[in-house]
Amino acid sequence: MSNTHPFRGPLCALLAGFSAISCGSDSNQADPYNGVLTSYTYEQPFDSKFIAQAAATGCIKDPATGKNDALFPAYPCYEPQQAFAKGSPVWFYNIGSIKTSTLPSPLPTTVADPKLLGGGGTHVDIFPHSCAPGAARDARLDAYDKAFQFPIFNTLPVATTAFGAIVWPIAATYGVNLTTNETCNDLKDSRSIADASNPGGGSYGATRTAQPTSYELMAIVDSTSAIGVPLPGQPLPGLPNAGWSYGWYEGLLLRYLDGGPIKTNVVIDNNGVSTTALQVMDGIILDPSSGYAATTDQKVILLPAAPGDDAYSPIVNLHDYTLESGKKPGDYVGICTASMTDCPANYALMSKAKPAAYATVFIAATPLQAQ
Amino acid sequence: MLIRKPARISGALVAALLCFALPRAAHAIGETTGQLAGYVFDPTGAALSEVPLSLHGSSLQGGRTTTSGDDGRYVFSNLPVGDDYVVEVEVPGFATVKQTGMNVILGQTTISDVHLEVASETQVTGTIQVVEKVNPILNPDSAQAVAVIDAEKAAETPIFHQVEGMAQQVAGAGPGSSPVVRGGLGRYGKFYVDGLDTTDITNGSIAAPMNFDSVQNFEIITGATDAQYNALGVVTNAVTKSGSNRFTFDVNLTLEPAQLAAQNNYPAQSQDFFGLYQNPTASPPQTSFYSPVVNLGGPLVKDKLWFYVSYQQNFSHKDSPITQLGTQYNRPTDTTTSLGRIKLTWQATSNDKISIGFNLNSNVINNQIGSATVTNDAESKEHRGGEFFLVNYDHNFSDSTLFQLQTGFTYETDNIDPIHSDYTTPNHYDISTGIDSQNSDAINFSTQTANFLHEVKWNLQFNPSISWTAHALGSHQLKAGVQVTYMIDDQVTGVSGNERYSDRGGVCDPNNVATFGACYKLTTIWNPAGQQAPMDNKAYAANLGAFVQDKWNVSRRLTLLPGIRADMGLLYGNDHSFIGTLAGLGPRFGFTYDLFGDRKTLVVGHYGRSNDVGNILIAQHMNPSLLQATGTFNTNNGTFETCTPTTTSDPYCTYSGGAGGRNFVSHNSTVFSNLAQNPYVDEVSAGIHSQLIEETVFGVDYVYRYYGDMWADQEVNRVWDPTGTKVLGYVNGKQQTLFQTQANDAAYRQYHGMDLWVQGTPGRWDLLLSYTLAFTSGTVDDYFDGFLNNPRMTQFYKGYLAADRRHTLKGSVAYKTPFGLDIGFRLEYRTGTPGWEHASNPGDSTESVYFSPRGTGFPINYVTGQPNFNNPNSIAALRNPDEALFHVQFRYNLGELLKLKTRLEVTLLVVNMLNNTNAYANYDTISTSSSKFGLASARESPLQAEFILRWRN
Repeated sequence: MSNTHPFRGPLCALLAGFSAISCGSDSNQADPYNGVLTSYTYEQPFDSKFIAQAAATGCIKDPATGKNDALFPAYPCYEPQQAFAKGSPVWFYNIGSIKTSTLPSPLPTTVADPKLLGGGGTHVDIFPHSCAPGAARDARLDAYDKAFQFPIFNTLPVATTAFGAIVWPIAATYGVNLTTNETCNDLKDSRSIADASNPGGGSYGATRTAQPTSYELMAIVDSTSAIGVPLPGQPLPGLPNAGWSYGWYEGLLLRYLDGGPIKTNVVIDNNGVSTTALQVMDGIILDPSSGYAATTDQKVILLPAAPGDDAYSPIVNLHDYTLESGKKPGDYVGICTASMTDCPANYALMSKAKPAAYATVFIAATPLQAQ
Repeated sequence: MLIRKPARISGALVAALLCFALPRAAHAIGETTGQLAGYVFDPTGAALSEVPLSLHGSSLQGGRTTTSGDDGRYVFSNLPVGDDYVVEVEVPGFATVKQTGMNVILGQTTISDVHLEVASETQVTGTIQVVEKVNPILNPDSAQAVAVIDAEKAAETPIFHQVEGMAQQVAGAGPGSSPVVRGGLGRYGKFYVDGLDTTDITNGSIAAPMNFDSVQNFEIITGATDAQYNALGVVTNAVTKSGSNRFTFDVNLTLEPAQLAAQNNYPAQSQDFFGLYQNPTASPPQTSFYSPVVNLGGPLVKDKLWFYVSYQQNFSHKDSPITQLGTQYNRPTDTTTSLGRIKLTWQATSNDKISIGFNLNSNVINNQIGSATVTNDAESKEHRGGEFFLVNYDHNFSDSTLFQLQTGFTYETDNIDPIHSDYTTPNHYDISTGIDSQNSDAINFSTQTANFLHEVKWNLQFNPSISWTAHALGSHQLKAGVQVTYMIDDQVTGVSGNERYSDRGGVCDPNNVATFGACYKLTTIWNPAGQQAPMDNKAYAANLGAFVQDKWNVSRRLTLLPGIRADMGLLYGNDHSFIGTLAGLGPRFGFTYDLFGDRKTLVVGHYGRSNDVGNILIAQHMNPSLLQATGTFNTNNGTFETCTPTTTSDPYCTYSGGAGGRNFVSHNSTVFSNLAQNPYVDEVSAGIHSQLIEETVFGVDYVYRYYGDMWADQEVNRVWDPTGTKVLGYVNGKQQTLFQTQANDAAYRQYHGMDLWVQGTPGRWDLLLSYTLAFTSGTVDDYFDGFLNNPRMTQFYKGYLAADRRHTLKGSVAYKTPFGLDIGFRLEYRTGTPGWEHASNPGDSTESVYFSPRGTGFPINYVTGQPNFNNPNSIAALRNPDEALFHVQFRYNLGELLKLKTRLEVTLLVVNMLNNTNAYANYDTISTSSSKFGLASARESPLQAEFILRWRN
């Protein structure tokens, strides 16, 4: 473009003026790309469970030796945590925990509505249709891929000072239909997608379904944070994705830890009122005899089911289990429930755990399953 | 024989030209003269051809003669500037006409028509004397955007007496001594002295400062330049005094003792961390300045050889207030400047004139950094200076044909060294305090890796041209020329001890275990030969230009100004290794039209292109830089990782700079076969200028400029994560930063501006006033400003640039009282420039992270004290504060009071009379460890007053 026309500026301005009059606006314009969700400072900071803390040495490993090393740059990091289910280790990212007693029971699906209870979850638009793939991504030049459409979030997990507020990593997902094929990821903003009451009213005719199509654990996390990998020698964070995916929020590229779908059940209370509730599973946290374990400790959580099982849920009520003398975390690798007839010796008896769950944790364990 | 020939042009042609009408026009290489022209009419108003005219004036050694052309037009071209020219016309049958008092100023055409009258009986032997009051500002022979400031106007203006400071007074120019003009770059400025380009060959600053009082005329061209200029920015022509048959002296003394400079709580340029300096425990910082000047001129051989010499010595002292680790003190920056000049002018024959000029300058600055970011021991000193030598030869082949040769050279040296000349002790920089404790880590105001620099620059010039007048379909003033410039630069850079330490909370000594807690990083510095030693880079650039242009007076009312030039640049690096060839064509077309035929209202228009075909800046940019290999301290074994040029696979080493850094895109070794793109500017302008009151012109001008294909470094090896803050890998698998240097079509700037201006000398007033409304946007703030370095940031680079001054009001007004007192006022008001919120990039500390388009940021929520980068809807324009400064000067001629034949002037110059020390720049950097964002980063210099005693004849 070395021979740029000298009149281009004034001429373009003139044409732009005319076009605004004669052509109107273009409803099929791609949403602008506004960069990436940051982790510097926030007017309303993410809830702490969505922000990686200072680098944990277990998170940062020398790519060559697999050993932790003070020389290696220390980024804030999500450290993978190890639990056990049915005799096998399960790696997951701990999205945070809250007192179980503060939660409604059963846990209604409406917790996925933004701002509910002063905090809330998020609505996420997903795209079952086939968008037109864009040019193949150049890893050096392109910030994001255009091979498929990323989900679009309408809320950030920002902390709130409201009493009793809870920020959930729980998303109600809506399907999106379009009347015009767009290039994948042209849409980046939930405001460009019309509600079902206004069919075809969004960009490219995008319209979301009237009701959620599913509920999932989708935890938006710092884009600048490292996401650790469970075993040494594996590629460093981001190469390839370690349990996280890309999404959009108002044109901002984000990363989220994907905890997978949450099953729902219809529960009828004593008054005969039915509630669609999110499935929660009961697990165990192994406490030392001297006190209580932290929910973020390694090998202290036992899950009744592994990802993929019907009984699995990324929402886990933890029941305290005081370790017997001589036992330590890792000695138990499964839960023995009352319905099980043949329990291995290294399974903890649920009957020995406290009946009332103390903490509920949200875990993103897919696709990092048993190793 | 006299022939009556009505000089007209068809209305249709005028209409067609007006429809095409777009901007305005221009002239010169290094303009050194003006001209006088007009038409000769008989009593009926018809043009008369072949009328003999003669011209005299004190500036003109000997007289000149010419005759009017077929259309009645006459031209006296290439006249020395002067204010007492006389045109005399003597035609049998008509009364003799003598037109007196005509003013010729630099680069302009003074128009003076001659109206002959039939001789009455009393006039047969008499003369009709006409005292002309022609305003050469209204110049029908040029569409150039130009202001001429003569020596008197300069002396009565309340401004520091620096030749490089004059351009900022005119419409379209930003503040400072290297002003940004019409949305361009400060480095685009050109400063000519008597026709020699004395511009610094790398940064566009003035290469050779010179004595202010030795200049006779400043011509400042801000646009619509003639083909003889290849100018992307402001052109300042300074024509110096030459001496005459009369001996002259001009001595003056400037006195600014510390008591005449305000001592503020916020001293000059203080930053917010100096704000703690309020109610200082140390003495307030002081500023002082003293400068004696001597100028002498006169004949060496009467009517043949004249001289003009000058010498100036400046002594400047300026305290920088420092608050460092809780201690307050003043650090003195002392500057000594010597300026010398000699000019000889030899009228060898009536047709041959030679002038020779020699200029020298020397400048010594101690404690050049003057900042709390360095300790006294980490300060630097600079010793710079140079000379230039020029020869101008004019030969008149005839009254209508002139050959000119302008040739000469500039020579500069610049030595920047540690304050104690310590080249062995490594620098220590404490990241916890931000302070350099020894031998600063960089050269101030530059991006050099080094902390010492020894540089020599040469610029050789050879510019022959020929001008001639011709008559065909009107009259023509044609000029053609060749311009050859050869530039040489030798730059030695290095780092004391060839090492630098980054410490944490102390001073690291790797041999002392007690200091290990402070040890963080060690950077070793390597030259391209792989040695820990200084680096010597040489660069060469040849610029070749050729032009032809015409001032075609189609009729008395219409002048067309076509021209074209071609430029080529050849760039070479170390060992004369060929870098590339740049070339471009620069067509020009302008016109002026006398709207009412009364010489009082001109419509002007211009289109033109200039090309940047490369200079030393670009050639040196292609040379290697010092390689920095950084290893981190290993607390386990108490050593720094050993990082050398060969350990690039060591993950604990990081690198920047080095020999592999840059390569030039789109060139090969064959000249002309594959020319690289080059930066250029296209300009379209139009305006109307009218003399509404006597000797005063009002103007309205619109200017559009597009600066395309600007230089940028594109990094091509690093693969960033989507945030652009972490490098995930390297395309070639090596930990290298690789740049491709290119004139990239995505790197551009554009400018829209409208000026309203007034210039003239009505009565006792002298006016130079302007208001400019302007919009400057684009993707680059300067060459190599980081655009394309990090692909994740590229999208944010488009927006309003740092040069975007939306409103500028400036005025220089002088009034001469009848009793010898002159009063001068100067006003500067300009709206703030854009900021751009950014943070240091943790992935590369030499880069920034941006979150929003250029010129914008995220407002701080004053409840939380934080901006919300995750809310794109809150992005807002970010602007620095507006600036308003007022200056005043009182000058009284005691000579008049004392009945002296000489002028004895006492002047009081007060700069920033209202002592406005408000901030004009705010921090736009955010940091998790700092809350400076939005606070003042720079303030206006406080009031300074100078007494100037001047005695001259």
